Amino acid sequence: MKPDYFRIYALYALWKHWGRNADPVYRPRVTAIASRAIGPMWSSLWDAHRRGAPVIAPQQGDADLIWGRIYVTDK
Amino acid sequence: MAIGPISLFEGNCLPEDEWFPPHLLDRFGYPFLLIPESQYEPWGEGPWAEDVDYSLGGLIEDSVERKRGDPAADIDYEGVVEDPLAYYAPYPSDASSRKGFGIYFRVKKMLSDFKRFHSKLPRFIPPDFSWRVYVTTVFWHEMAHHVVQDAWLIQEGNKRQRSSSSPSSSSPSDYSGYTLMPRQDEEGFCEYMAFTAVERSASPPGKALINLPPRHLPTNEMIFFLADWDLDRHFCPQSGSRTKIPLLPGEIGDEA
Repeated sequence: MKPDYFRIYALYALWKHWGRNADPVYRPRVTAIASRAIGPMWSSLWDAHRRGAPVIAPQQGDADLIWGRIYVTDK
Repeated sequence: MAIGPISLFEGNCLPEDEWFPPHLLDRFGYPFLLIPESQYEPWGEGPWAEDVDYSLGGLIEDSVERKRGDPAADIDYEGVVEDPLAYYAPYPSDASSRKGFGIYFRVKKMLSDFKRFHSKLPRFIPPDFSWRVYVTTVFWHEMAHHVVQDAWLIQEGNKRQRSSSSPSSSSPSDYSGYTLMPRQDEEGFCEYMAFTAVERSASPPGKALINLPPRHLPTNEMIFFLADWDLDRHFCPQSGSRTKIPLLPGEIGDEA
């Protein structure tokens, strides 16, 4: 078995653990409303973030603000 | 603020879809067999233990509605998106008070829930591996909220440019009040993006962050801190070493 199998297996198990198939809010889906709302810009924006590319930055050439804004809280 | 170049193609629109995993394992030729509940191996309770209600019934309102929180808390709750395991605090309306903006892992709730989750997995999936999948999924959900806000910000900017005579209902600096879609649609959408991201790519956030400039290393360290935090002490008390399974081909793992 490869790590890919482990990952998909764990992800499937997480989906079941969180009851996502029946959750009224967190059921993972793109609704018609969401699809219309995000429009054609989504894939580019998402891919940019997945690559860590700057999208919205304090100054041209700076990294995206979000990468320096990830925290842990006990609340 | 500077907005980078974005290419817009109609073909980039995401169609209606649902992330539904039962077919995913077929391609591997192995079945999906969660161990029976009677055989769960619960982990010992740790000092961080805190129950998290994963029925979500009681959390819907909190999760769906933006709300103000305790002003004395670390997070600026203005417009915060509160999920069961993490927060996304949007760009604040005042750029000079950026203090609260960002993604916040609710680590006690995550660890408490993770213990229950991992106890349901077969032994061939070690806890550090399942923890990475767990953290990564939570991370991408919150990141999707962030990208939704970016999308809203760009759309609002375009609207303002097109019709300067009829200003948008939102002030140009009112970033924390973003409303691109109803909250319930956004939560399902962000969850879809999270599961899809983890399914399609093994790259954990830390992997992406490695490629960023060194000034972002604290974030990177935080991710790996989370990934390793207390696992030895609380999840594998009997073992002196753990096997780390590389998430990507070529990724360095600590072979025990």
